[in-house]
Amino acid sequence: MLEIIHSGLHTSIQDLGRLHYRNVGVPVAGVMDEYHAKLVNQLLGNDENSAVMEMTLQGATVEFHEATQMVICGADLSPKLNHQAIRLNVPVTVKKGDVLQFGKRLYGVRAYLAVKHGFQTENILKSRSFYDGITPKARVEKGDFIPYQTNSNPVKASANIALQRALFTDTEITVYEGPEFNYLSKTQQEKLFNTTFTIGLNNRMAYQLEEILENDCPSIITSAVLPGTIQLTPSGKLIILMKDCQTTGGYPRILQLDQKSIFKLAQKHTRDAIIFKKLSIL
Amino acid sequence: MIHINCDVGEGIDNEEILMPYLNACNIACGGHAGDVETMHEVVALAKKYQVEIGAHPSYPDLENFGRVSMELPETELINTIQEQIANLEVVVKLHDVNINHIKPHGALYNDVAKSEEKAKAFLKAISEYKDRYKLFVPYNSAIEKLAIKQNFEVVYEAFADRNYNDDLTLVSRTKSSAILTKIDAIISHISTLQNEQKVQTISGEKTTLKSDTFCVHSDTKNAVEIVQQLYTHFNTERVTVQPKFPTFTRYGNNGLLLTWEAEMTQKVLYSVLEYQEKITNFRLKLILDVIQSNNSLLIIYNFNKIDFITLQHLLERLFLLLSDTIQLPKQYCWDIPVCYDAQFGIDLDEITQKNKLSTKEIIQLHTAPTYQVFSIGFLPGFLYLGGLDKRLHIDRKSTPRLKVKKGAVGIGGMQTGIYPKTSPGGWQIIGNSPLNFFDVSKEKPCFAKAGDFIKFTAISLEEYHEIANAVTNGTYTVKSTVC
Repeated sequence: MLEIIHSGLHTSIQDLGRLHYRNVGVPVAGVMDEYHAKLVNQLLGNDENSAVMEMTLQGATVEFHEATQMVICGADLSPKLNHQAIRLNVPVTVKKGDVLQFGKRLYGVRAYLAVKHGFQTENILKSRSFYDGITPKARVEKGDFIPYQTNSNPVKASANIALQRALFTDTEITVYEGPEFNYLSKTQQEKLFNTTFTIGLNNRMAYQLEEILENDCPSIITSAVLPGTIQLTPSGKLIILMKDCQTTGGYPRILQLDQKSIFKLAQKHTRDAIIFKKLSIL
Repeated sequence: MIHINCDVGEGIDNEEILMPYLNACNIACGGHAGDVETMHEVVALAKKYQVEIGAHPSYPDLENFGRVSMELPETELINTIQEQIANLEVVVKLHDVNINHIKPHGALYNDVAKSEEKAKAFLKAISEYKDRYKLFVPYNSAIEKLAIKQNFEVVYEAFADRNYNDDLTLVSRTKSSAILTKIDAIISHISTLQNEQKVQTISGEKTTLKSDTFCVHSDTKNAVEIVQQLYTHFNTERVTVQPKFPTFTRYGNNGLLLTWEAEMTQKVLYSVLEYQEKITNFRLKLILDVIQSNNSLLIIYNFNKIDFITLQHLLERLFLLLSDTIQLPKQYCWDIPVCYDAQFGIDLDEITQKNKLSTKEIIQLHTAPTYQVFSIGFLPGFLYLGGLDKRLHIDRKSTPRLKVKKGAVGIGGMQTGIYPKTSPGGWQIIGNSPLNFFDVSKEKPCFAKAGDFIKFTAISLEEYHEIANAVTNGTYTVKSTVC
């Protein structure tokens, strides 16, 4: 068991999500930054869908009640094991009673903690991803115990991972045209790709952008939306849907982020700047 | 109309795209490729699309994919060929279909075409199948002559994607001119064969070549495009006018959106549900998920296996195959008890004032219709219902509530619905249902599905608590009738 001593700002257990219940309205959920979540599992030799702990901006303080190996990837929230600074992207052996805590945020927004074989919270509708109303909790709380398997066989140290800093610093967000892209006039389309946008309110459901794109686009009959879909509201707000987004929506879907840009966005913070770049598909 | 055959089960894993366009397939049975698992998979697909099944024996040489000549003692060659065909026979029997033909593979195909000795050995190996299976042979070959003499039923095969030498052997794969990939060149090649019974060889000469069937290699890099284009080109009379709806739109690099008329009508809904049923029926591995909404279907596909254009072609072909034969799943009408007591119906007063109706009239108007479920979205288990009486239409609250109780029955604009869990919401609340609309412990967490119907029944506070208790104890079954 992993005991939560301090929960951090928004800490939850996530795997790659709940893919086959969208027809009954269940959001995909799952890790926001799939790149680093897959990496953290890979470093321990776990299945890529193993459940990891996602921490946002501020890390949690946790005590290990069983020996295992762990790795942290993604945002650098200054992790310390028993008050000793530890490196990201490197497997660390932990003993019963070890305490992991975090300090200052150096870069990125979401950090991922994995243990050997993954966290073993309840598998509900074929996923362990926390989502309010599907799992008992939407986030971990102080005093929670998160199960995992004891493992004392050390993980073979894998080759050092070259950190992809661009995933944290790059402002370019690559997008495809969405199904309703042609609702926009030429001028609006140009404005979309010539504006530096600022990230406003954001959470696991969606990222809002500050700048307004004036429009008189009609709404559509409620239809499917996906993580990475950019909706345009009548007031001109652009909303980038993320992993906890609803399964359907009625605003025009003007752009669609590619996978990599969803990972990148998941590591961006309020007031960060982004620029859209259009991708064409064969 | 032309007859197209394709070598399959060779590990390329594109059979589910190819098969709907083929007349015959030649299934690798362990010699150069293929194992029990691939044979099962391919035979199942051939059965589904009514494609003639052929055994495709080869020199036993997995390493070189059967594309190198081997000098084997005759008995050994005969044994391996018989063993390979027997492998496939076991599989087809399990699927209750039959083998239609035999076609040697690769180097063996070339050798039996050239060498009388090899041809003799091959025919000896398959002599027991003479009366049951046809034999694919190249025109004017050693095997053709012997097979005819021995009363085999031969089918002349020409290669759609290969160039020929003057002596009607194939241009060696080691040469760059061996394989045709340009669609125009393939179409002109086949047209000449079809119309003149002649082939234009690599030197430009036209030489007689009979062909009943045309082979496309599934490992030619654009094999899928080739069979799709050949189908369109040579089967024009079968292609009917494309209907205007649904339209096909890209949605990212792994989404294909089918959209119907922009209206929430039963006609559109049934068309959407029919297409969804068709797609489900095909069970394509490359389709990862289908998300239904009121007038659309979003298909999430494996973009490593197929691109948008190929998928669009494939779906159009498949939809034609199943036109008018599909039946929607049984539709149920669910009886939903609702308590309209003022304790729950916290906005009943506002509606009585704004819509000039008494509470009794509101309840009557709300319980009278049979509503249809158009889709499920917004929240897990939230049903989009069609059919609310016009007199009950009312704007959403000007300020949404931060918490609307689980089970709350509300009206928002022209719609009515039930909140499956406590959540923020702006609808006018008129009552509450004690039922569970989403239960993660059930295999089907939501009892209703798109296309089903809902009928609200007014209940008293007392009944409400009784039902709520039964729901908690797991002893309540939602009442339903088949429509």
